[in-house]
Parts: sequence; C-alpha cells; structure tokens
Amino acid sequence: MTAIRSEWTKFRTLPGLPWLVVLLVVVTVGVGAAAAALVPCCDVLPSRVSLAGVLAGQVAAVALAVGVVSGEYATGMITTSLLAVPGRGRLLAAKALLTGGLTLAGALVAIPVSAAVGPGATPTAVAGSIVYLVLVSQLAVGVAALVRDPAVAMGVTLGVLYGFPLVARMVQDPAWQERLVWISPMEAGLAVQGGLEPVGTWAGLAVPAVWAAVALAAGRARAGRARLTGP
Amino acid sequence: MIPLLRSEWTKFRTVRGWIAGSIVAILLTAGVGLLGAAGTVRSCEGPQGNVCPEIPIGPGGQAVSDRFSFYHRALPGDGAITVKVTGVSGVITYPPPGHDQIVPGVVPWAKVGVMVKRDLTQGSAYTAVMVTGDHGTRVQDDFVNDLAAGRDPWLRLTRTGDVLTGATSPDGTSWRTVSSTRLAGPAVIGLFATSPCDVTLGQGSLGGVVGACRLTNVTGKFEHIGVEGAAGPWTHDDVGAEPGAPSLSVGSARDWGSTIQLTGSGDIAPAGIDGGAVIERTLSGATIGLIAVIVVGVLFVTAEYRRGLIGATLAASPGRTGVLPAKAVVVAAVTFAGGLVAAAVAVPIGLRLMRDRNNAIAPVTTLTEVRVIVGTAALLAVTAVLALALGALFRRSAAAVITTIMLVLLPQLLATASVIPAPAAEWLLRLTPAAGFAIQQSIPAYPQVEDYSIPALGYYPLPPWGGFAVTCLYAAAALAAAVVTLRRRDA
Repeated sequence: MTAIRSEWTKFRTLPGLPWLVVLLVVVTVGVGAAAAALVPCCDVLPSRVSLAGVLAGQVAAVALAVGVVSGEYATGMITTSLLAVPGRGRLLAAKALLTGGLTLAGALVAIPVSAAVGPGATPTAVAGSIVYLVLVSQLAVGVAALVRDPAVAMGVTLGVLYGFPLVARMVQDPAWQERLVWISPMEAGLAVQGGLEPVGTWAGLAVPAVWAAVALAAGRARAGRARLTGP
Repeated sequence: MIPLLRSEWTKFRTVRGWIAGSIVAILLTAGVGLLGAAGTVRSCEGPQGNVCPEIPIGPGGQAVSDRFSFYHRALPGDGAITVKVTGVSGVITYPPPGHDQIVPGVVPWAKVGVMVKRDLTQGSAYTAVMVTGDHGTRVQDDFVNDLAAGRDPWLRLTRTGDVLTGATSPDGTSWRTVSSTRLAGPAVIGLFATSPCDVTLGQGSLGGVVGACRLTNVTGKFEHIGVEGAAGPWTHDDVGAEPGAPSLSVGSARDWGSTIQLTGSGDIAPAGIDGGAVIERTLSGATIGLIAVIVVGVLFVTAEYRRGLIGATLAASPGRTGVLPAKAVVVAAVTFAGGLVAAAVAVPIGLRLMRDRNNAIAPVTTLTEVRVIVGTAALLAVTAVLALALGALFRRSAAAVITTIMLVLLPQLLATASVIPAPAAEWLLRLTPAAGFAIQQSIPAYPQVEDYSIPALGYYPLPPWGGFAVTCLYAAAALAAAVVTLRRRDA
C-alpha cells in the first residue's frame, strides 16, 4: 500500500504525467466525435464509429505507462525508489496498479462520453473497450520495464499495437489476415466493439491480456536481475 | 561541414543501440514482407486442376480486362465503319440496398460502339469509339487512353494507311474528329458491347473493406451501319468468355440487316484490383520497420541531451546551425542505405515466393519497380529526418516518438484500417506525412475504371512523388524549426 502511495505522490507531482490522463479522455472523445461526424449514419457498426477514438487515445495510455516506469530510469530516481521499496517486484506491481488505475479512471470517463457523443455503443463494446485500454496500459508497463529506454518502449509498444493491423491490411490474403488478427492485441482486443466475426466479442480480449501478462512477466524478470542504471 | 559530418557519423556508428536499431529496421522491413509473401497462397482448383486463369497483358505492358461481345469482319487494309447507336439498355444484378433483385439498368461505364482491333486475342491493340452508360461518347485505345467526346450518337472509325481516326457526329452529316491513333497490318473491324460489374464496397468479416463485383450486361442497338474495306462475313465472338459463365454474361448478336442488336458483359480497361498481386505487397514490413527508424532518429539527438553530450557537440560547433543538418544527413544516409538493402531483397525474393505459390503478379515496368524500392528507402530516410527534428524540438524521446508515430503511422492506420469513410481517409493521406506511402503504389488508378480506388485497398489520393513531397515538406519544416530553436535556446 505504501508503495502505491509513494507512486501516486510521484505521479501527481511530476509535470506532464497527470495531463496524459486528460489527454487520454480528450483524444478518445475527440477522434470518436470526428469519426461520428464523418461516417454517414448506419453504414457501419455504431459501436465502431463511436469508439473509433480508442485507436488514437490508447497512445496516451501507453505514454502514461512509459512515463511512470521509464521516467525513473532516465533521471536516476529509480535508485531512491528501490532504496525505499527494496522488493523490485513490489515496486513494479505498484507502478502497474497505479498505471492501470489511472487508465481505468480515464477510460471510465472517455468511453461512456464517446458513446454518448457518437451514434451510441452496445454495453459490451463500452465495457470491453474500457478493459482493452487497461490491458494496453499493462502491456506498456511490461514493455517499459523490459526495455527501460522510453523511446524504445514507446516504439515497441506502438509497433505491436499499430504494426499488426497495418500489415494485415496490406497482406490481403484472408488466411493470413485472420492469423494476424489473432495475434494482434489491438485488432483482436477491439473485436469487442463488434464487426469481427472470426474473433467473436469477448474471446478477443484474451489476446491483449496474454500480451500484457507476457510483457509484465518479462519486465518483472528483467527488473529482478539487471543493474539499475544504464541502458 | 565535412568534419561535422564525420563526427556525427563516428557517434552513430559507435553507439551500439543505434546500429542495432538500424539493423532491426532492416530485418523488420524485409522480414515481415517476406513472411506475408510466403503465406500468400492462391488456389484455383477447377476442372483442369490447379490452374489459374492467365491475366491478359495490354500493349503497354499492364494487366488488363479484355472481355466483350464482338460482331466483326476482317480488315486487311484501309477501311471505315460508321454507325448510329439508337439504344442502350441493360441488366444489373442484385443492386443495393436490398441486393435481392435483378433490375433493368445500365452501369456508368457500360460501353457499346465500333472498334478496330489487331486480332481476337485478349490484350491486343485496339481503338474504339463508343457510347457509354453515363460518361457520354468516348474514344479509347490500348486500354489506358481515354478521351471524352461529347454526347453524340453517331460514331465513325476510319483507317487510312496505319492511321486510325475516330470521329463523332450529332446527325451523321457534320463530323468532328476526336482522335488519331496508329494500328498497322491486318486487323478486325466491327461492333462491340461490354458492361463491367457493378461495384459495391462493404465491411469484410475481418473488419477491412471488401469490394463486391456484381454481374451486369448491356444491349446496344445499332442502325445506319456502313462498313468500307472489310472482307469476309460478319462473325460474332464472345472475346474472353469463360466456359460455364452465368447466362446473363454470355454475349449475343442479332442481325436484321438494317439494325443490329448486340449484348455483352465484361470490360475493356486496365485491370485494376483484379490484375494480380501488386509488388508493394512484399514491402508491407516497411510500416513496422518505420517504427524502429523513428526510434533511432529520435534517440540520435535526444540521447545527447540525456547524457549531456550535447554540450560537447555544441562547443565543437559554436555556430550551432550545422549540427542538426549534419545529424540529418547521417541518419538519412544510414536509413536510406538500410532501407534500400531491405527493399531490394524483399521485392525480388517476395515476388518469387508469391509466384511459386500460384499468385499472379500485376506486371509493372522496371522503372516503376525501381521507384517503389528506392522510394520506400527514401520514405524511411525522410521519416528518420522528421523524427530527428522532432526529437531536437522536444528534447524528450518519448514525446518525440509518440508525435512522429501519430503523424506518420496513425493517419495511415485510420485511413486504411478503420471505419473512417473513403473521402475523409483520402484527406488524411493528402494532408499528413502519411501521404508519402503513395510512393509504394505501383498500379495507378484510372478514371475510366469503375474500380475500388480507395485508400483501404491500396490506392492513394496523391501521385507517388506528390505524396512523397508532402512528407518531405513536413520533414524540412520540422528540421528548419529545430535548427532555429537550437540556435535560440539554451542547451
């Protein structure tokens, strides 16, 4: 508990980080509203249109996670943190919980507001997109703990999120597209918004969950072993 | 400038992470595309076994559609054909919104008219004067050339020597010459009718856009038919017809002497999306490799701030103006070289893999292939410069990486793989640095083809170099801003 409280104090006193939660809400709602204004009524699934902002808003969740985890390595603050909380797993867990909680708070505002602004969304899509954003933040925490450098962590996480769908679109081979969708955390995870028959709805969220779990485990393993400073 | 370049190059090559990042970019760019190519298997199981139909190649070397109903005679030398098109009608199967009825109607690019063609093989040279469903009277030749010619019903095609002259007339007396093309040697001359499928775009089960092509046909009624210089009897051929095709698509001709009625289905045009796999499909890895390039570009400058090296760098170059351009040159050169290696490996090997798996590849000229390969490398290099400039502006690597990815990749993602409708997607690909991906498009969109020319299916709104120029402008502007800021602000 004390570990989480100290993380919370760091978060709220660091310039920039609290703004990322605001940014998450603004970008998600803004892009969703723009999509709703652009897409003619009823052509495509209303849930997809209303919640299109998640595609862009998740960047803020990733940035938040990278900021909370990598930021300390960059400034050397990590030494002090580990002196105070010697259990490295406990420290990472505290950071993961804080990031997840903040993303959840942002998503609890952003997603229902997007649904209200746009042409509406099913309760499944609303709940699933909130879970998705939290899972993305956990994936980013794991990656950031694993690679430490903020730029590399951003690149790897966004590469995993955006890379698969872009490649899947270019491949244009149905069998490969389906395979790529099943390993893509973003595509499979957002199947909860509907429109992706081979994945169904809830089953797809298992994909980002597995990615996040693997990333956190790998990050935990690295945090437990590696030296504190340097890349 | 030379010492600056040398010192920046020394920094780049001695930092392990930057070299590793560049190698990762090469491996991702080449590897992802090759994996996709290796997995793209096309099966054409039919009565003759696994044999895929050949895609006809036009005189210009591009894949074409060449399927039409042709009522013709031989044309050994000079000659002419004159007709009046007195009626165009047709059938459209299962149009939206219900998709449940076969209705009378003519699609915009249904064509009936007169034609002189080298022979009856698909893809051979031709010139035709035609009345279309919704685009007026037109003269087209060799699949790619298309001229509008008002809305006159009288059509004439004359051959003198090896010059073919297309003309139209409102009344059959005063003629207006529209075009002149060349076609030497024996040929065939006659009347034709063809009607391309009605295109609708829908959501695919995997979330992308899927085009559906619904069968149509057209019936043209010709009167006042005058033919000079032709030899042999009138013959009807359904050029390019496939055995076992639905009866609505089978062409027919009825000849009452003064009136001829011709029914046909198909298209005479560049093949568009049906012309085989495009070569840029082997470069799908560039979008992922780009992320590694962005990270390297940003770190090449932000790492100096983080480790305090920037102080030494600026002390060595007190004018400061040259530092960022030197860094930009180094990072662009390294990325370009790496991208060139990746693309030059991925394209030939990827195409080979795809051909081995029965895929037809849309043929392009060597020049186009070189443009796609070099252009991809150049796009990676320019993006690296953009990332470097943003890194210098922000001095924070995470912020710079996010901004560059949101500028370059997010628009591409929203335009090609989201619910954003095509017109908005096209504006995204005109106005953002993602416009540069146009350099990868190998097959142009032709206005005379009712095709799927939307971003989700690989068609960019800007021409290749135009789109690339947009990305260059962003990179140049960001670099200029970064140079000015570096001079003004405290290191």
